[in-house]
Amino acid sequence: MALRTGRTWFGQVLRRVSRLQGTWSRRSSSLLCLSANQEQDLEVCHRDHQKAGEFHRCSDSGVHRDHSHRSAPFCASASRRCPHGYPHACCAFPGNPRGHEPFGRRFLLAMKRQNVRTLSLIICTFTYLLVGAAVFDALESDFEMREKEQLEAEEKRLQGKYNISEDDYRKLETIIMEAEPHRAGVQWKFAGSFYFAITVITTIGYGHAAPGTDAGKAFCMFYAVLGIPLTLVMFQSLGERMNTFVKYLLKRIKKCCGMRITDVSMENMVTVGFFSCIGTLCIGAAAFSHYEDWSFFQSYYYCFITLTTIGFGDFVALQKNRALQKKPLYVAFSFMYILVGLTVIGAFLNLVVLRFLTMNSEDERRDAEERASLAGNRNSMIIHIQDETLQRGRRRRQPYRAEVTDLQSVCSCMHYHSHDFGSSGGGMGGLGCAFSHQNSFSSQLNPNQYFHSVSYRIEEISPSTLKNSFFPSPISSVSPGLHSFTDNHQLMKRRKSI
Amino acid sequence: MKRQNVRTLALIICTFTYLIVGAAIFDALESQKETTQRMELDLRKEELLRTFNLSREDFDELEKVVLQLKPHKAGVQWKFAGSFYFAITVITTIGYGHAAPSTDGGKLFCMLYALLGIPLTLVMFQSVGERINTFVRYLLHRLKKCLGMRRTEVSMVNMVIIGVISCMSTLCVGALAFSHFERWSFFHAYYYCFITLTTIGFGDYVALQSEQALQTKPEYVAFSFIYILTGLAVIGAFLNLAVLRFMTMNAEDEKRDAEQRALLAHNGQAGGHINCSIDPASPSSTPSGCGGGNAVGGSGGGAASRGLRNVYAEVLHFQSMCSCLWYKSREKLQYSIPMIIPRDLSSSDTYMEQGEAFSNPLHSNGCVCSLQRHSGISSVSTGLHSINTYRRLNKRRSSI
Repeated sequence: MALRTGRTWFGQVLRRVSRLQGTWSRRSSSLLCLSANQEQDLEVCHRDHQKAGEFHRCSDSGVHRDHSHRSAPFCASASRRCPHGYPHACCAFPGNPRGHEPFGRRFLLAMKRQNVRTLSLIICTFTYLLVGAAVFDALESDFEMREKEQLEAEEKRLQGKYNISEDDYRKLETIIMEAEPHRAGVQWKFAGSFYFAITVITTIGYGHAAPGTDAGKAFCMFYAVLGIPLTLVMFQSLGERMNTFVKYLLKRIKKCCGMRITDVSMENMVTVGFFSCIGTLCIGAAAFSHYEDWSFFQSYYYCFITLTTIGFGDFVALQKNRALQKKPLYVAFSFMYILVGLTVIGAFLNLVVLRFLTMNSEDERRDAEERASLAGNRNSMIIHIQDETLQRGRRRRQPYRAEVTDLQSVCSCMHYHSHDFGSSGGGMGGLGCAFSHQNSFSSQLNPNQYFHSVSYRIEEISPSTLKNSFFPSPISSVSPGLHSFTDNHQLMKRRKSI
Repeated sequence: MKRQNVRTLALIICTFTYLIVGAAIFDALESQKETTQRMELDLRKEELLRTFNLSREDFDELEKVVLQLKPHKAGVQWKFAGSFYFAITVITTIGYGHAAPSTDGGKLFCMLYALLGIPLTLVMFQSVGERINTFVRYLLHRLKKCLGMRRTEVSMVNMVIIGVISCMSTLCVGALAFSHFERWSFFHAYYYCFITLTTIGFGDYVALQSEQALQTKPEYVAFSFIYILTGLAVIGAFLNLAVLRFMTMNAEDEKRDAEQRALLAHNGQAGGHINCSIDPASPSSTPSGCGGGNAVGGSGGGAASRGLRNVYAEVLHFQSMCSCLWYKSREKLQYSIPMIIPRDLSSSDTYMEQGEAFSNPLHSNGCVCSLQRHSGISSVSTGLHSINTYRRLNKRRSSI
């Protein structure tokens, strides 16, 4: 399902973010460009890029492409197509014109991305905590002080009014505190237990009722160990289904409305997701403010705290008027609301956040492949093209070998542009570099679909696996095509892993 | 499509069953005590009312005041230390509720704060968790080397075992510390740590609430914060290891279905009529037949593209038939084809170890489905594709 980033500012934001990531990836991938191939390539590469910033002059012609210098022209041509602002990053050679860099240094520089990302996330979170703490302090401290004084005065007054001694008061206090959960009704009959079980496995954890017995506590722990992952996976699964369905609906709507572009972009999805979250919260707020006699704002706050699974417990539904025992319909509604609401939120998280959770792992994987290809590669990692049918022009006569390695270094900034290639048939379109191969390959096919769909399948064929190629030449002409897809898609896939 | 729907439905049913079973067991465990405790408290309350000659309304008033004073009794909650504690409970979604914003402005800010903070924290913990996993894998690899073991790859089982052990020990360390500082029993402290680190956060046990700890014991406060965040990172690492791949399963299947559809469309387009459908559920459809039919029926493309189509068809066949068998045999394959299983945790190490020892990839025997080979191209490329498919499938399953 091809999602194209839109052209509005949001789409551009997304593209910039991905380009930033691409920059990072290029930093390390460019090392491949340096080290993967013959030294003459390097020289040309380096020569071409010595003129920093003048990449636009690198020619895209096929003239000096034949038989040599694969890397450079690709870098050059791609850099020309690189989005504004990042030409130098497209083939960011770290200024080392020598040949193969020491293995260790490559790793260091390649590893850095995940570590940099992790470190910056940690710093971000700490800063966020500090800022939050300061703001909460400013907002709540005064009120707290005043309330405390008031309540203590009230306490004194009552103590005096009823002539209760200090010790007696403590006893009274203890009793009242212990009786607090019972105020709201029977908590552990089936309905209440079900409510409690929901708060455990969804990790909401109000605390309005907590297991009093030790056996209950122990069982609660075991229950959570199994239940929480099950629930996480379930909500993500259901959320993904929801997203797919919404995507389908949107597409139909777009078709019905007779719009020209019926593809559902990421922007569309995010907008719809966001509004459905707000809608869910509002519905809940309206319902609970009616049933629980809270203000709309308080109900909204309750729904928000519940559906983000924070679950303070300052506001808890089903605690008034023995609702758990007496109002089965309202109880059922509450449970359904919580579960459905969590699904909607889960769908939104699946859409927006899940890809970031796997980022480090995918980078790690890519680094491993790069290392493997470096380790396994003395010379060509693949094969020279020999199949005449694949050649559509001089441009396509280059070996695929360099392409594969260069793809990563060159095309990570490109892949989003690949979305925009639309129906550019066989030409270079807006693609640059190896996309031309794919196009030439599939010129009789629908390039859009083919590109998006087939390539995914053959993803992850790292060049190294074909190093000791057991393929005689006819095959070799076939398989490299795969590789151009592969690496493109590996990169593409990373970005839009939905 | 079917697989994702089946999976989703099965998960929903599982979860509901789990909830019902849990509710029944909690009922059995707690109901009794609840009723007895309730009766007891009622009696004591009556007694007190009589002693002090309080009416119902008076008592309610008193009750209200006492309950409202409860958080204040535990100390100043909203000075910087307390606010930091609160901010942690918000963005990690623990949410004890020991302190909750009373002002409307506080509530509003809390919501906005959570909106941005929760995804940030999720991503951060997964990121750190993945780094931890990578580091542990590296250490284990070195350890295995030092011990002179023959196979130095780190398997998934190793990682899971280590993950479980580290989670347990994190909980134990916290339990010891908190049982000492808060004067809880070890079991209650363990329960507290567990409820905290799973971000449930009931609030029945909350650290830093006795003896004005937030204001008077800065080291203990710092320890608590660091413990919570580190513990969450360890749990996050384990989740990253064990659970994250399952959360992306549906999406990956969806992607694969899209590819299949595209391929079908493309086959139909270029090769005349193709009436074999590649249905993941039915092993009877052999795309090699489709591919063969394609080749025979004449196609618009050249030999290469036809061969490519054959090849792709076979990939699909592999994928559609072998996914369930694949997972079981992955562990075995890991040793026989170390090169080809980069998705496994041992990936980087494996490559480093055996980059040059590229053993026979066609030995890959993880998939037990047999495939008829029709042409020279397909027989060789099948080898290629078996690798691909394995990697692809492997990747699907172990997409850490």
